[in-house]
Amino acid sequence: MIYTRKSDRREDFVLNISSGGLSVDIFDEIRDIVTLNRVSRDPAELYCYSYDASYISSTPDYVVMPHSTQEVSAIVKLASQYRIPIVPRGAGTGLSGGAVPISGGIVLDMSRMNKLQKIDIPNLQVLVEPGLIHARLNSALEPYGFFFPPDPGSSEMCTLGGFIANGGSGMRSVKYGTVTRYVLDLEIVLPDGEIIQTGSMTMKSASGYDLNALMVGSEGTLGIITAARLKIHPIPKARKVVLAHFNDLDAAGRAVPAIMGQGIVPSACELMDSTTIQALNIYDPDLNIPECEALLLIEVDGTPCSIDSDAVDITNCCRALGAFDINTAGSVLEQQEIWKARRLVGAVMTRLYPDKTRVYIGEDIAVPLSAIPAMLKDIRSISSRYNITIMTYGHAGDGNLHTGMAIDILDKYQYEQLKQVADDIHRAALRNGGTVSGEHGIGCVREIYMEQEHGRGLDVMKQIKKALDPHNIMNPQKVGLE
Amino acid sequence: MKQYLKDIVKCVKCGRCRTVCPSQNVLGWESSGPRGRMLMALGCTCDLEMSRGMIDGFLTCTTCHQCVSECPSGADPLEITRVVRRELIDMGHVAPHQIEIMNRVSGSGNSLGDESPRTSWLDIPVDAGSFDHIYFVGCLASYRQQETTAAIYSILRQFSVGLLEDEKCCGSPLYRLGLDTSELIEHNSYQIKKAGAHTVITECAGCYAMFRGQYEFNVVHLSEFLSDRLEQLPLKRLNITVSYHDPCHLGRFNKLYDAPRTVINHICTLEEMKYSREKAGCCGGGGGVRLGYPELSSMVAKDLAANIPQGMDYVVTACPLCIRNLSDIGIKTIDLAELVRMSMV
Repeated sequence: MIYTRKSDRREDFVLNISSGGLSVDIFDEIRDIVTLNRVSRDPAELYCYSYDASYISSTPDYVVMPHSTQEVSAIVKLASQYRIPIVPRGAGTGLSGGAVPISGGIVLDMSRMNKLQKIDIPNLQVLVEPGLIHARLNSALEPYGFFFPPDPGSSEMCTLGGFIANGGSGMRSVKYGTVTRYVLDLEIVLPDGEIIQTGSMTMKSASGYDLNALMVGSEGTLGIITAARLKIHPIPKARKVVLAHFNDLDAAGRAVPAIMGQGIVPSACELMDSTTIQALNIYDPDLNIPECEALLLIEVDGTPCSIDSDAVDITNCCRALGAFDINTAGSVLEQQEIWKARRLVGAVMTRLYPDKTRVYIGEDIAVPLSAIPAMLKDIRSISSRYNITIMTYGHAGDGNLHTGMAIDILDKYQYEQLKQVADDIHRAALRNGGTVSGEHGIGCVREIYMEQEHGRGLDVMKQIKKALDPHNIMNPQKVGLE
Repeated sequence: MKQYLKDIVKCVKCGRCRTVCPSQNVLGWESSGPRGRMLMALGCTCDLEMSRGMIDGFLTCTTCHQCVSECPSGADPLEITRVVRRELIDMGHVAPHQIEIMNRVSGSGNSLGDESPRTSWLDIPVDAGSFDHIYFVGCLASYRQQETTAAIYSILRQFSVGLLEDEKCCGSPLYRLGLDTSELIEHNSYQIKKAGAHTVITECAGCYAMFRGQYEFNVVHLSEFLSDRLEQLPLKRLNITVSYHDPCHLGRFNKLYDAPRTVINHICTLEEMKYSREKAGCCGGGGGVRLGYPELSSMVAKDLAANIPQGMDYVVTACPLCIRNLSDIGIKTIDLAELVRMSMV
């Protein structure tokens, strides 16, 4: 018997519970693979796994917690046999519904495959299991004087498997690039249950198609990452953070390409608007950031001499564009506090508006650097049109802007309006030559923009999907592939 | 649960709490962590089917407060968990360990179910006079650490600190499990008023948090009281090195970090754990987990043990549950009061 697909897609927080309804029951067969205490069909457990951090939810039929590649392979073979959807999930911190089981089926919780298998300093690499928390890798590398550079805001909670599968990046990607630059090799369980390696231990390879790059950002639609070999980088000798305050958001936006034009590649370049600054101050009053229209946080790294020189150039550049208060966070502790607050500022918005909740929607557009001022203007215009505060912050150094909105999510009118706002933001990004997702992925919340963004390219993606997953069991209804 | 909907949807599901939750770190399932509990609470507002998984999910919270401390959006999964525990009881879903603790306290007035007199450690009758400060001894100190309790009281008495004529359990173990504590609070409050006291001194972290949150008296931790009077105390320095474990209900709950360290540093050498103060680990004993889920409780304690520096003579703490849970996995753990007793001339 073949599993009958169901559609149980719900939007935040439409308060109903689906009853599911299995056409085949493979509980016993799953249990034979992973033992009883690592498979669940308890209604409360299924409800918990119907969510990620996005506004979409849908209930699975089973949740399974594998401990090994062999177990993953066996479960995928079983899913393939019955044509049951299978959805890999790390920590469920994704913002685009990528780990939400839209068609039901099996959610594979990979978070227990979380070992740091090997730190290989001579070869500048590590071998990790997909469930390892991002920040724990960097904690383990620090004593060796190394780090894994792409650093998402969710570093403390996201898993490396999910990070890779979503093509993640972070604040330091302006200099160090996104996760794809660091993937040397992946162990992948394909949709038929077979296991492949996508790369090698070497620092580079020109051997055949780049399967690493194919898998990075594929959001679990082509296979399941069960191990990853990742390149690591020496920790720079010195870092310095320049804080430049502006009374004009556009000027802050213009400062970004101007700094790059000085021949400086900052290791991070974060833009924050006045709402974001208020949120930061509420989260950590010790930061005591002056009230202003915009703040640029620019980090440079290198040698003590080079960072001092870069900081002077950055200061001059920002001053020329009207920055009124420019200072540096000297101590490592001060820098850590600033970055910690910045990482969590998205969720902190809820503290700013205690009666409202931050909803992650339309939150991850990216535009060419030269289009940042135009995009900021568009965001302000949308904000004014809908009379809604749009907190704007993000990795201005690579054109990736996050837009945060908080509403009373129990108010249907506000919720519908929010979706309109998000749609306007996405379409403005595309108009400005950008993308609807810089680093959070498409999942099931941005798929409607895929055709407009990729044109015929989307057809190629669909053909790749069909070639690797002919029965469409691997995370179906994602990335606009159907 | 519908009246708590606004509090529940404060959670933006970011998952920051799941990596700091000691129970979820052991069990893995979403339902065993704060985000999962918030989602299940949301489900309860729209008739999510009651299940074993839901009950276990809510009852495996050790009430360590890490989720609240770390939540960027200001949600309080701990309070929501307590509310759901209470609602589950109202609906008739009472776990065996909840019944046991309820029976112990209602039968004997203490959380151990010990029917001997609460002040049997005292060799003189309780002075029924009037006192500004009273020493609220707590269940464990009254029945399981009697020699230490007598020694501590001998110090406190010099500062005109009295005892309650009829002290009963403060209610903390019941409160954390969602059980009713109103009679206990009423009884103890009456006793305190009868003694004429405005300030309660307590040493147990559970009692301290309970008095801070649910009673209407000024409350001072024993370490705070002693640290202000160290030069007047008959204490000698000990040639030992200890590490201090911040009990959740003293540390993260009430931000009381310095006074215990002041007392310890006065007596002996203190070496901090890898994670301490607001980042301190959880012993796994709180929230009824030691009684209801002993295997989980022990595994959480083992996670904490990895945090203790090598070569310590003792781990010192100020919570009876921490002492028992860490001792059970072979760690030499003593109460702060015991350290003070050891140092008394």
